[in-house]
Amino acid sequence: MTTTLRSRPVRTDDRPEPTTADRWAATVALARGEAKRGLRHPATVAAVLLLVGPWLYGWLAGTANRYPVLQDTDRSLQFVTVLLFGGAALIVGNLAVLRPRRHRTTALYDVLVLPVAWRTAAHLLTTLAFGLLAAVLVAVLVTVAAVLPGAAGRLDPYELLTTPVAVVLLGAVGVLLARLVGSVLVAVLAVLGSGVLMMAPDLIPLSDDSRLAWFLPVTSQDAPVPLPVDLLARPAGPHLVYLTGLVALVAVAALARAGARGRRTVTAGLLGFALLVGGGVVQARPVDDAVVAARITATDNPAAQQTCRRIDRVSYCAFPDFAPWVDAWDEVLRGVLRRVPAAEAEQPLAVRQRVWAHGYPEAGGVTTQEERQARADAWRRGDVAAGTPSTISVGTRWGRGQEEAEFAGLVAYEVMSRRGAGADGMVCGARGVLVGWLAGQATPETAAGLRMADENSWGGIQFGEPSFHQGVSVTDREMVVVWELLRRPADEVAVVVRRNWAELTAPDTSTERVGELFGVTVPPQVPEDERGVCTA
Amino acid sequence: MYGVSRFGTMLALLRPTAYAMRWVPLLAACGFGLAVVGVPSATAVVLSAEDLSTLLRVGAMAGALGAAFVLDDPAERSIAVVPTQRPARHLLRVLIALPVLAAWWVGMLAVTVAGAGPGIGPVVPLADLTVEATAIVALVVALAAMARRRSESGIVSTVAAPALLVGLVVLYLVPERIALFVVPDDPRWAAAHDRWSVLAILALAGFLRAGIEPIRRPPWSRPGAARRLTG
Repeated sequence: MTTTLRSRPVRTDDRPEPTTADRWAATVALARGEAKRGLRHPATVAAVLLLVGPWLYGWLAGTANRYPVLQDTDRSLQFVTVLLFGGAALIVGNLAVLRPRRHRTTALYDVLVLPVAWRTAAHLLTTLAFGLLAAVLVAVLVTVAAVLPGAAGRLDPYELLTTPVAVVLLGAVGVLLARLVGSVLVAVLAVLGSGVLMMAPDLIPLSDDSRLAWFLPVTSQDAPVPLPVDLLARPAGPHLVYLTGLVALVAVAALARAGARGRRTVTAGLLGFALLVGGGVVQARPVDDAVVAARITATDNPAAQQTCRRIDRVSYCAFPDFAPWVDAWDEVLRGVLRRVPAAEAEQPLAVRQRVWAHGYPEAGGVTTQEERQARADAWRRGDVAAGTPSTISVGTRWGRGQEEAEFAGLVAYEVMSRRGAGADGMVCGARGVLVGWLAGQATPETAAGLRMADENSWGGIQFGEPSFHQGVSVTDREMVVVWELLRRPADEVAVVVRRNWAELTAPDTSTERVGELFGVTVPPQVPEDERGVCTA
Repeated sequence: MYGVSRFGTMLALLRPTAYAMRWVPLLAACGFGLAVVGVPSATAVVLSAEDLSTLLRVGAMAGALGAAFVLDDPAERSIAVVPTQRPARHLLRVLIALPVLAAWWVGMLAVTVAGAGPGIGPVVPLADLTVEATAIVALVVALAAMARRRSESGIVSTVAAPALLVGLVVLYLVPERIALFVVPDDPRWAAAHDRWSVLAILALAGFLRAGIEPIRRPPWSRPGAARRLTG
């Protein structure tokens, strides 16, 4: 039987040999059939569910962020999408190529119209379907984020295209592996391995500007804080070229292994190599000096890059990308101001967005008191030069509750201290209670954020721009009083606050005095050696 | 289940079963796992206890992917009628693979500790990571045993290995409250490892349950059901 199968099929008519066009048509038909089959494979279905499920859950449970930073949204989707859909494409493609081997029908396939190289080409074409599916899903997720009124920044088409191309790359790797090794084990290990590889830049911390990670299809490496678009300098375009070259090379390797040696295969290989080298060289270039200079300016003196908008007596200065957040900031700020005496609320205020865009300390790094003081001085000088002598800081994240609570706390502290940017240290006694209460009652989001901060902290709560590791903090002793006051109707508390404003905002008014005013029992003071120094 | 109690039969089946098992994928996967922990161990890179735990986890996943091949039996059709029942046959295969997996895991731990920077080796939570590895391997053999119920060819690694990958992503995505993949410093570490233990026990129970015969399938999933329905 084997002999019969191995010999050339007997031609019973005098039809000519199939032309290239016939073979192309058959290849496309096979690819289409395999694509239908592959997209219905349980691994693919699981990938769709695992991508869409958590996202839908986030929206239904109300934990989804309504203030996305679009230049981070597009790339934060890359890792998970490529791992899920690239993994599915790799395994499904591998299983499809190995199917005749599993069913022991390899020899039977030789009587088909398509030689093995063409069948390999069809399997490679099939991977495009996975790329397309990933592209469609990413487009849906990103569009939903982009149409939110609170969306900041802008999407990068190159970043968006990276995902489907990387998915196709993994699919092509699956086909190549099947042509090299006849076991699905290699495919599943390759999925595991590519996941580890793409996470490697997180394991081995590279410096901020190292471009090594760009030689991976995508990486999970992320900037510590969202940056304005102009400061990102991600070589997404060249990376896409590099990735396309890599896809071409892997595909050519699979075809060559299947016996394709034609001129077109060689040309495609050379073209792929050229793209790989060209894209690789360009993406590896260090960050432009102009961008580095812009990052330093953004960190030390952001006024130069910001636009300001006035609402009543408050000016809001933000990096242009983040202008859509001004209304949300204003809502929180009004929530604090409506509880303070009219004379205080009518004073002019300024809010300035700040970002640590250059020289962010590595994980575990600490900043010293002197460094923080120097930064605060620099900020205040910049603010004076920009015509907003006293500013409240706000960061480049918003919408998770914590940011709202921290901003509300800083607003409250500024209203009672008028010290300006770079507020730092522990705020004690009556002022601490007032900061906590004003922050907690401002909006429902700040209340939720304050509770979250309380659950995740020990000893006290910090109000500040988290990316700068500085801000004012209120200890647990004051927070006990704050929680009690937050349980009462805010209007009632506000009447007492307004009447005793001068006393409550005096630095030497004790927490016990607040207890007397409101009839709240204050917990005993912690031992002297465990107490912090009240510096704010 | 009297097949299990027949110790003599099991003993007699030991050698032929070991001979019939697919060892190459298992050993290759174990080798891959060793490379995952071995390569950083051999280089000068100093990794934290957290990073070493991550590498051990990845290594355990690789070994588990190899264990997906343990239940592969191309002779499924011809031995379905033998008196030794399925739970016994499955158990025997797992018991034969167990010493190999155990030796491999001890090797993994040894390589990790030997290559760790000064003072870091003793901090790596080896016992708890062993619980995780046990749970992952138990999960894959359970998946393979479940796949055997529906497989006619007896080759279930093509289902079990990708299913394990999907399962691991699911375990990774579980809500924060019941997180499984936590870092060693995390206050939830102990609770997470209670969950890992429960997972291991559930997976083992699933593995044993999946072997039980006769297999009662709902009418719509019986082979040929579609044909009967559509005529």
